[in-house]
Amino acid sequence: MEWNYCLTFIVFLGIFFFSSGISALVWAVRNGHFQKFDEQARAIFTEEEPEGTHTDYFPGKMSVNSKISNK
Amino acid sequence: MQLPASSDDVLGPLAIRDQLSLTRIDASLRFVCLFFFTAALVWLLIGTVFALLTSFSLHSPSLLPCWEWLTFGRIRSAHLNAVAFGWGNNAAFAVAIWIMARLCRAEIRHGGLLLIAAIFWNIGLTVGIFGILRGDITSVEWLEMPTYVAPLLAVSYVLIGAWGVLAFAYKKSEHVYVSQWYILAALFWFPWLYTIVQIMIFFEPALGTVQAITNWWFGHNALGLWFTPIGVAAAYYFLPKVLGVPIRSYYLSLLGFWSLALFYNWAGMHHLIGGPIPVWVISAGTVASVMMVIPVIVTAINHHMTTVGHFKSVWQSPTLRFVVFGAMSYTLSSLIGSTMALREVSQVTHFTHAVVGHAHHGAYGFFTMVMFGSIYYMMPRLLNREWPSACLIRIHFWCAALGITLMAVALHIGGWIQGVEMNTPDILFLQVVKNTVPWLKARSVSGVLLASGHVAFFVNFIWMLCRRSEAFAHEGPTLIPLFWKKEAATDQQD
Repeated sequence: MEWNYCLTFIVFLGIFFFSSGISALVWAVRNGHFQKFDEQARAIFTEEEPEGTHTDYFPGKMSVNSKISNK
Repeated sequence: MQLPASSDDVLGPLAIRDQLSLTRIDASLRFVCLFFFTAALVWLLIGTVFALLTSFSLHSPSLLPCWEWLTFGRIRSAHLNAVAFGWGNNAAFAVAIWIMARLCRAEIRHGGLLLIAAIFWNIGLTVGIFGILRGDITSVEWLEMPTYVAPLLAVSYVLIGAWGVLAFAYKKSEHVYVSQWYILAALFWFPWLYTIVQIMIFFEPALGTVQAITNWWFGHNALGLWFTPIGVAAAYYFLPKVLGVPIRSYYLSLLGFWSLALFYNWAGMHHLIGGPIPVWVISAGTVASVMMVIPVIVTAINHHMTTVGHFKSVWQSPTLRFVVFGAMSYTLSSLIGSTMALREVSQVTHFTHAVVGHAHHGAYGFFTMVMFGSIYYMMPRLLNREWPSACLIRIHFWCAALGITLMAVALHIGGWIQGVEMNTPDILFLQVVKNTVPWLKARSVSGVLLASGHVAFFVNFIWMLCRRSEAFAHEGPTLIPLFWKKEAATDQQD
């Protein structure tokens, strides 16, 4: 393969990746991902692992009762 | 032990539906994640053996037999590839896909194909590292594996990465969390870097110093655009998750992500300071390296402000001990890195052990520690089973934390002295080399500490894999409340 063809391929690949990045930014802005920050910050919590509960302890250091009272 | 009469008393019926879906998500990833973690740990141990051999051979050159397979160049590169692509990538794949699936609230479908891709990744790696040892090594740093394994590795990576992207494409959650941004970006960036560097250095080699530029564009970005985003994504997930408080400023977390995306890919050129490439390229690299202070400080402030007031909880959680240590190392090593990218500083530190110290500070102190923490959180949820030994976790933490601190301090100071002496023409080169020996011995001591920590971790891991679930249930749940287990069991019966 000629080096020029190779370069063209790389440039096109670069354009593809760059435009993917820009599209991601545009998509994020249009879909409101730069708004409602509080809601998004809480997206990691579920009813199973809810906000306000510590979910990790050394083995043998935590009982169900204390976990529930912790809630 | 007093259990609630029913889980409705505690969480309500809505909660159970959601809780089951999380359990299902974890279950859908069980085999794949366990495979990734087992492979990662085996590679970590193999890489540690290579590391110890390399480190000892530097201050005791006659220690190893005269056998070409054990020459410094080969075992050093075998160490790098085993820990970076064996330990680092396997752990990163599991953590990234698990976090992605959980945040998308979507099960991973066709996990069998993902498992096959994972197996092929590890086969490619085994062949590659064997190739390095038998002498098929290339002379390109970070790409030492022979070119015949590159296509296999690239295809396996794309397949594994596709599952993360597909999980996002079919997500059931309403919101997008910052960790998902980091993971998605990393899954896109790494194949792009790897493909371009393979083409421009091996398959259709570019001319002259363009190869060196491409090499360090890849070498630095493999850390900055692959390992760093995965590590930061995991820290952003586990810190608030374990503490039960949302991240202090979500706005800052997004600012950190987009500024990292903008600046990091330029930064690799600081490796070529003083090299025969256009000065503006180096200047651009230096400017970008200093601009990296923005995402680093932003992330550090955010993590610190989230943790403030919960330091006791951090200490009580195995996950957070490691993750917080990692997050602090990220701040420190990144700021040192930005300083080392300045021309005046680089004139001293370039070609010294300070660079090696800095690389370990970032790759181990930050990335590896965050991965350890992530594994401590994920394993009980994947297996529905407790870690067998708290003592082994503590041994692991102290060996890792003290070991990497000793290594970073010794190599930064030793490397700086070495750099200053090399810039002083009155001192003979041999004398400069001899003066580094005490620091290299300190590095070997730190290596022994790290290796002990890895063995403790491996024993705990295998013990956990092999024990039966019921074995610990009567002693009381710690990481997983028992009523969740009960619901999970009911769900499985249904």
